[in-house]
Amino acid sequence: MKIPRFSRAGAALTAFFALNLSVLITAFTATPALAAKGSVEVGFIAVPPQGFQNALVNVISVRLNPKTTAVESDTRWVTIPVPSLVGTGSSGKPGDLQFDLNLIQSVPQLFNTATVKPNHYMLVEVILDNQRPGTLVPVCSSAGPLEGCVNYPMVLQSPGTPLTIAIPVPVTKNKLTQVIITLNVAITNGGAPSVTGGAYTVTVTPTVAVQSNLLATVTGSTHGASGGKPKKNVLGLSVTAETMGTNTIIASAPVSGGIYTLALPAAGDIGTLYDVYVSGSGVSYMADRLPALLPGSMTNVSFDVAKQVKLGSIQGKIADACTGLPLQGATLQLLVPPAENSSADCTATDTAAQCVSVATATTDNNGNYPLPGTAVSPAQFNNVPIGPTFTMQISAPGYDTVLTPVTASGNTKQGGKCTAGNPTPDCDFALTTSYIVGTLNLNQNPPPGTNVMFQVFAENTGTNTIQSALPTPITIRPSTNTANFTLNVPTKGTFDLFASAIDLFQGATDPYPGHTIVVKANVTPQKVCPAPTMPTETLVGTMDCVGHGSIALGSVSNPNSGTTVQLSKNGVDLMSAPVIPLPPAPSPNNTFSFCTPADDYDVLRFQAAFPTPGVSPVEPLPPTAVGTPQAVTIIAPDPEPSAKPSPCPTTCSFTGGTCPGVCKNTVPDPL
Amino acid sequence: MSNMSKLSLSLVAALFAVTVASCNGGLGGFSGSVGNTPPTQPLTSFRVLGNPGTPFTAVISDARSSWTVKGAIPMEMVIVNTMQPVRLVATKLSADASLMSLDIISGTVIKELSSTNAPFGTASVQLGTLTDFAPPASPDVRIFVIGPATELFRGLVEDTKTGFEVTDRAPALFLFDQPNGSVDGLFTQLQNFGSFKVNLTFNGGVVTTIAGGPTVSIKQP
Repeated sequence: MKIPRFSRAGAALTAFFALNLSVLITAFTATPALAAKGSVEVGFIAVPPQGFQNALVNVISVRLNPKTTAVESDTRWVTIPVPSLVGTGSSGKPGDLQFDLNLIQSVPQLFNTATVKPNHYMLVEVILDNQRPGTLVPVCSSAGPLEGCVNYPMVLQSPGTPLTIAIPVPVTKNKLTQVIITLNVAITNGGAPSVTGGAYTVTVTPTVAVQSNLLATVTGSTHGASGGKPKKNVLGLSVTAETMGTNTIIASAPVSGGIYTLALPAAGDIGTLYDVYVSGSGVSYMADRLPALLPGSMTNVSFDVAKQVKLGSIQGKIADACTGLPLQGATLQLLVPPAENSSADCTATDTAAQCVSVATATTDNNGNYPLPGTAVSPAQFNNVPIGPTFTMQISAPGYDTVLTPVTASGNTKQGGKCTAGNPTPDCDFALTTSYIVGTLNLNQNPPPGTNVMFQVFAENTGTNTIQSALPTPITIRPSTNTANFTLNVPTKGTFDLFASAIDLFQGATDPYPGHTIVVKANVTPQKVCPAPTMPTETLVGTMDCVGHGSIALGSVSNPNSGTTVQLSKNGVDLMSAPVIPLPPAPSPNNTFSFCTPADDYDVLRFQAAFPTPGVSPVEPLPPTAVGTPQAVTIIAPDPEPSAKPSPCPTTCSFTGGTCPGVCKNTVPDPL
Repeated sequence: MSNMSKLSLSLVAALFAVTVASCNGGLGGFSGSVGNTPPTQPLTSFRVLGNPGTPFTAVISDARSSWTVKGAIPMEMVIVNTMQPVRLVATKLSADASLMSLDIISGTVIKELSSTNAPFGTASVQLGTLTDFAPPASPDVRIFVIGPATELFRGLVEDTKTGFEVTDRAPALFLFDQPNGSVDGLFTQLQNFGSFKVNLTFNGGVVTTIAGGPTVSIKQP
């Protein structure tokens, strides 16, 4: 095996283990928060069983022990839980986090980084929820008697056997050690259920992960600031990586001695796109938009940070411009131009995507922002350098996005100065919206004792860029077969609508509906206030009970990590699927699948723009269509021959009391 | 700290201990019978987890009442005085591949999980079988412990007849199902990450907001 070489000062590969070991370990330079401890970053990559739309596992934690023979009750276990901001838990314990293993077959997903007492750990254990280790959702089978596209519980073949890996994990003071664990999940012989909803018996086994196939390294220095022990109410100096063009943070590394190192998941073929930025300790934000990172690569990104300055806050309230009511869950981001494109105008709608999000806040239930942080980890909007003018982006689904210049003021408790001529308080904003009032019809009244719940989505016409959804799903009960809905959408452009049912199956939650999806293309919203009440749009067709269905084993020629397949109906995009599994998965393939109700659809290949090697994209580009749409029909399952007591013990009920039978799969022609 | 302040804190702590010891129900390790009052059904809570900051909208229902909640990940929602079955349907309000993972918990036991990475994906969890959502809560009374983020706290939420002990992390939203009279909450920080920020809403409007710590109480006017 090739051992990656880390030549940059302060970054050193300390260990790489082969011989059928399943854990990837690297160690990097010190972090200030770890003065007396080391740090361990844990990630997962997976080899799930094939033939499933979803393979979900419920992870509680990963823990380390210095003894290879440690028993479960050993007192030396060191636990790395679900991140506290990701998984708040009852009774103070971190919660479970559910991962879809299908989505992490080629690129790992980072789990958490925790401070750990320096030691030479020898045992790694993955803790799954012992009561509910996971769920499998099979696609429909053309031959089998079992229903597809519904939840099947996963049970471990040996639930009492710890999922351990005996491997050295050297955690040293002021070092970051990485542990990437491959989860092999396999169905045991005879482990498939014999009845719908029965349990799959599985084995979960750690296997080898090869660093050069998984991670890219970004390292560099921060001239002008060296980091150090964070002060109270001041964020420590750190460098953060996020998915390009978003505020989705992938990893963050503290700066120590003016040096930082990030190890980031990277796709092996076309690479992965990231933005990075430096923040904290009173330095002004600086950002970089990186070229596509390939596994095994090392990229140097250094920042000449300005002199440390006083910190202030940006606070305010976000409301609906029509109703005046507070907007809950609105997102605010501070944007700065990246170093490669320092003249980018972040305040212009057309060019804001060229900028990097360096701080995020959300509104509370009264529309106020930011949510309070802590003395150790204050809210990012309460730690904004005073002096520079930034661009604040304010967005909420269904509303027009606002871009406004903003400066911090006051202190780390309160402040904010917006310069767009807003009334006092200066950083309060009201977002504008328009409305689509529509009607959805069922083909029949729901049978007594049943109902149909549905959600409506609006996306930009001709795209799959969803802009809005109903705040609350709507329920149609037996007394009628129709319901009206009012949807907030932005005021510009037209929208495609689609509505999807939220069903139960045998009384349990159903991950995929058994009712058809109804659509309407190219709808123009009403720009009025107050909201209109009379419906002007009717979704095409009726939402019919048809039963589950799937499109699986479809194939795509020569796919890469930027390949997706979109499913549409009557010209309205509904959903997309990745092509999986791609290398370095041990058994690469080129298939895609959808669980979707029996109906007529189109599938179409899309391809993300291939970044020029070594060149930073100006902005993330949307994928483009390749070829022409291919018509696909999922045949509705035959009704079960005899009537069942109402309601049907499946996903929905036909007129006359019969029920949909076992669903069917369609294999489309290769794309 | 002055002697008077120390005395006040001691009184608050003593009052809190006495109050908690005499109530029932509970969440976070306190389910079952405590003190002299009979045990009640454990509180039901829901967690919306995943990529922090991801917005979502959710509708929660038990057998009597339902609530619409909008917010951002992470958030814990607790039905006070639950009447099972219960169900949560949540829709992610972002068009990216961020994770939204739902847990439903009775007492301290996770009963069901569901998740989605799809743009504007929908996921749902339930405890028992709830075939139809109940009417919107009336009155709709909520206490929202907004922050400090991840602060571990213990407390008591109650109406005029029943109190429930809680142990949770902020942000946590308490939804009262058909409370008897007015409600109040008493919360004590266990980690002292910063000042509490707590508000109480009645039928959609914030009627009281408090800040402070390590112990705060909030009452419906």
